[in-house]
Amino acid sequence: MNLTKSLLTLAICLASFLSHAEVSVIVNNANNDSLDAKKIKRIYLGKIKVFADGSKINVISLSDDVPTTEQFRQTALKKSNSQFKSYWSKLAFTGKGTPPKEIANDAAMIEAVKSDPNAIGFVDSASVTGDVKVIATY
Amino acid sequence: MKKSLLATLVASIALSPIASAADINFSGYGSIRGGLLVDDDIVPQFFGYDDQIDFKNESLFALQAKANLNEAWSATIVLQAQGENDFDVEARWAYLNYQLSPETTISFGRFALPYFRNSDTQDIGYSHNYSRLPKSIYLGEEYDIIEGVRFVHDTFLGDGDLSFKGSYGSFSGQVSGVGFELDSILQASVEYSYEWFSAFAGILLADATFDTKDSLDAALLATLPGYTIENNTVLNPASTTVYNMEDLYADDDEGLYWSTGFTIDYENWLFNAEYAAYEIEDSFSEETQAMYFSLGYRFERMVISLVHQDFDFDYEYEQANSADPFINAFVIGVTDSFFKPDAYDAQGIHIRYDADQGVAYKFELTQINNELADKSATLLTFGVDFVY
Repeated sequence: MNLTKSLLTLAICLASFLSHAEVSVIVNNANNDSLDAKKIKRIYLGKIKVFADGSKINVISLSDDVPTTEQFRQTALKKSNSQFKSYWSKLAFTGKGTPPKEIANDAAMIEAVKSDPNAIGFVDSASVTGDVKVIATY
Repeated sequence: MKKSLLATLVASIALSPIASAADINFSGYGSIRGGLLVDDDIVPQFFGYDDQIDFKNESLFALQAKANLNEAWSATIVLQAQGENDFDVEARWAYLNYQLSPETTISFGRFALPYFRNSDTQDIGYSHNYSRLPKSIYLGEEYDIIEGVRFVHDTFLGDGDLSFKGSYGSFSGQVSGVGFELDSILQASVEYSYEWFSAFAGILLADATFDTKDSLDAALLATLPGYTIENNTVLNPASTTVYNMEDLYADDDEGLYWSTGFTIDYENWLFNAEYAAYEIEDSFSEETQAMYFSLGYRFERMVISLVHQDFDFDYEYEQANSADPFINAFVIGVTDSFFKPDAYDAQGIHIRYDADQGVAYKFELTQINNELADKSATLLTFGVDFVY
């Protein structure tokens, strides 16, 4: 009986953990810039375009249909996918910037950030490897 | 030798326009909208619908091609086909961008002039929650697009963001079938945004010319027999000078626009308000006073907005400055005939439903009340806005 209860509790905990998987914002291991939540938000909204050393930031997003994307936008940017796209449509069609480049999955994202010292991206925390540096979690 | 030839060839191909065509970034936006007046004591100005269903008036497709020439320069063209122009493709925007610094961009070429807060994005239905931005402010005129130079600078103020826009340029074209020119357009605006709040203020000055001289002269001569016009001066039947037609013409006269507004997006409640006033000094023009405010609520995939808009004029009749009452009656009559039929207010409900990535359905029901006729019409529209 006790075992059943414990298993049930574990299952509930696991389910809630899975539905609220953590998102990690990642940069290249060589990147020593200090980026807080406010700066990360401004980077993804096209308001900060360069790192402290003046190098251009290559902003990468997972594609719209990946659940991590919606979770990152909701928690870090306080915008739904459609609000994010509406926001960027105003910038992209008035010469104020180009929306973040989209990548299909976590493995491709880690590969892109690993090979680009100016990249910033995000992945499901469970996918993080030593190839990239985590600067924030949501 | 062969190697270096090959290297030169490879390098020249890599630098050629054909190779860099792969670096052109394509994107776009569009709207398919249908609508009709479902209850029509009048056919309201500006909205473009009557009692027959119409899918052309507000439908449009746009394709943007952007090429980065190097770190600082990029070239962009937006080709737009609008239903109201029989889907003739027009280069809506065509400009070179120079990134002076990460915060500052200068654009040269053809672009939408930010008369008001959202003037430069009014064609992008997906970018807002309405079926169209309120017509009281966003009339969608030909002179929204000008040729010139545009400056955008973004900076931070505390935890908020500050954005400046400045433009200089000119327009030459037609408004309501009449020749219209704007020269020496000078525009400046500032927007401050902080988390859930933003405020905007803008001003625009230009030398405006309406090609109405001949028709105003003809109207005066037809209305007041015995009067004559010589060198823009009106003489009464006793050959006494009674009026200077320059006070009625819009001929290189100063046009002044100013506008302000704010937005709130707090805990799914949305509030927008904008006010604009504009006129051409020393002309037949009366000051246009336009406003709207809207209250909305965001549900998971849906936004419902209630919009009130008002479009009116101040009727000061400063141009009716003659000692001759017949002239003043004529001038007031002309002014009234230009502006009084246009004044209206409207109340509407707009629904946006985000159906899929980059696709939003829109629905609208708006009652438009013409003030002169004291009659109203109800407009129903539905459509899809998209970006890609």
